[in-house]
Amino acid sequence: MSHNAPIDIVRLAQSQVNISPDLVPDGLDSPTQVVDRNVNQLGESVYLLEIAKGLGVTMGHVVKNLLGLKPARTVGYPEVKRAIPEGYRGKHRLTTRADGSTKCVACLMCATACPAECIHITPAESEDPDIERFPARFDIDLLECVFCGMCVEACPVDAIRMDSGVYSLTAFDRESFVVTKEELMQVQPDPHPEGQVY
Amino acid sequence: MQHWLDPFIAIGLNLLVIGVVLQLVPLLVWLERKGSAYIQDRPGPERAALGPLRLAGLLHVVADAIKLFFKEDVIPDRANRFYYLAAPVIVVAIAFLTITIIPFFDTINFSKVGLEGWAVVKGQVLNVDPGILWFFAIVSLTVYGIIFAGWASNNKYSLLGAMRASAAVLSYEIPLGLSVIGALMIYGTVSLPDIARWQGEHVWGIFVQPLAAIIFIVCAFAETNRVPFDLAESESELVAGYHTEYSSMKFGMFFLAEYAAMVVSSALFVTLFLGGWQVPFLNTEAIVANITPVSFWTFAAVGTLFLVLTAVALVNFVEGAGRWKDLRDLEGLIIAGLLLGGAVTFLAGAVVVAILPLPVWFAPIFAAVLQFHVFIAKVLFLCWVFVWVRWTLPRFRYDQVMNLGWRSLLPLALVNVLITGIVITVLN
Repeated sequence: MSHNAPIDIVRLAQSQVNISPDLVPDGLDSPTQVVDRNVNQLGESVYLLEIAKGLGVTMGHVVKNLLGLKPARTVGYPEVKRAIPEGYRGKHRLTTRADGSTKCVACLMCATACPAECIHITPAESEDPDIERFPARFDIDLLECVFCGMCVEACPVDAIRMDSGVYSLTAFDRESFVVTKEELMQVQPDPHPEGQVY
Repeated sequence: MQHWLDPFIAIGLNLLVIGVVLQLVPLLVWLERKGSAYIQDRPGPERAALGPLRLAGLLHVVADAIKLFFKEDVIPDRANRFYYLAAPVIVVAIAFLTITIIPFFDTINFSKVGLEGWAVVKGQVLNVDPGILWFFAIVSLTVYGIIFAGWASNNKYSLLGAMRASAAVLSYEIPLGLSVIGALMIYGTVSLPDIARWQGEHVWGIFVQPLAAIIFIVCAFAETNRVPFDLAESESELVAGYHTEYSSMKFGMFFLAEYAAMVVSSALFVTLFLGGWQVPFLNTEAIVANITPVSFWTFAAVGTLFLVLTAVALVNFVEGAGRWKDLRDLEGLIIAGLLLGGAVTFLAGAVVVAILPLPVWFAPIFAAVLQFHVFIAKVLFLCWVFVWVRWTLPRFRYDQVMNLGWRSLLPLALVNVLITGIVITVLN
């Protein structure tokens, strides 16, 4: 029996008299193990020694940081940005055709898939004989959005993507968070440095 | 004997002492933020700048103070306005009152070097006969400020915080006073300048009364409501304790008082147990008698220290080149220049005192200035201990605090008094 196998604690407690040997984890004499806590009762209840030890630990950190012996665990955001993992879902963007028009065909699949109901599309008929429908309006309320990526999954024509890497969404009023089709088409992917992903 | 300069000296001393506390408070806030950052492997505040100067984040404190002044000043609707407004005033006033009996340097007495008729400068603003007893009498009034704040805010968190704070302060005042009694029995005086002088002639108090020193500093933590005894404002339970409802500069006053109380506690500990203004191994008479070597080596040491700091600033300038892409990149160079100027001044001073004959009045004044700086250095070290402990230890639970106070520290302090009394009686 391996260490990882679950032991039925309740049954173990009920059957203290006869414990089947195969319930005992390898390397142990009995299923209940007495752990030596190694408690220095007097030394710990006086506090002072333990406090001195703790102070030593923190002072070690201070000295190392003062002398610059430790690599920085933080980055100087916003001048320095950390690499973000592949597949990170940032601000949405609408992809375009070669002529600059949106690929979106206003099929409303994304709006239907959206659990937060934050995508509002007004379809319209296109003048172009090759294109049936296009979105007259395509608004996303970023304050409602839960960044689940369902819209990207649902899209049949690869018109909406969340690969911009823009995660710093700030504005001075709520209205600014409702982004329109034009804005979504102009979202520039945020260049983040290559490197270790935290 | 009155001298015509006496009133001016008194005013000067007052300004000096208030100035020192007011300067130390922002420094401590900075020490707290930077120290906690380095303990937690962060860079800490470093961004705010005045032109090229960042001063390692010191300007963040200035920005904070300005922010506090301009914040909206809210008074809760159901608060008792009089007591609500009186509370921060009481707390701050008492913090500044208590600093007045701390001696910052030895009395400058020119008649000892043969200059008759010169004014005598005392290193203490208020020289009262009860000495340290007066300190304890005044410092316990802080509880009123805290209780007023908690009650008048009409908020359950404030009230709970105030009750906890007053319980802690009342419980720990007893071992605090008792621990001091053991030390006072040895010094044979309650006057703080005399205590400092005794330590200069014999040995620092921490070596004759180590147990009292430990009890005193533990109680000082509880008195100032600092971690590990900060259950009065344990933010995870009581929002912010007794100053939950305070905003703007009224909160700023509590903040100021907390750090001022830290300075006062440190200063009192230094005076009682770390020799006060005594320069290690050199009491005032020794400094005055050996003024030429003492002043030479002091100036030389400070000059060398400045040179080392210049090198550090230059290394920082080279390493951090192009980090900010604005004036802040030049900071290292400017600081290095200033430090180099200081180094040159002090090294030149060392040469001057070594070559030129020193005027008679120089020795006592130099002794006082040196003692003042040594005193501030000791106080700053102790303040660092306050910060250091805060970011090392977790908070005690309320019952643990009470247990420690009444069942450990109080008996220990009593035993200390008993043993000290027996030893003194036997040795005499």
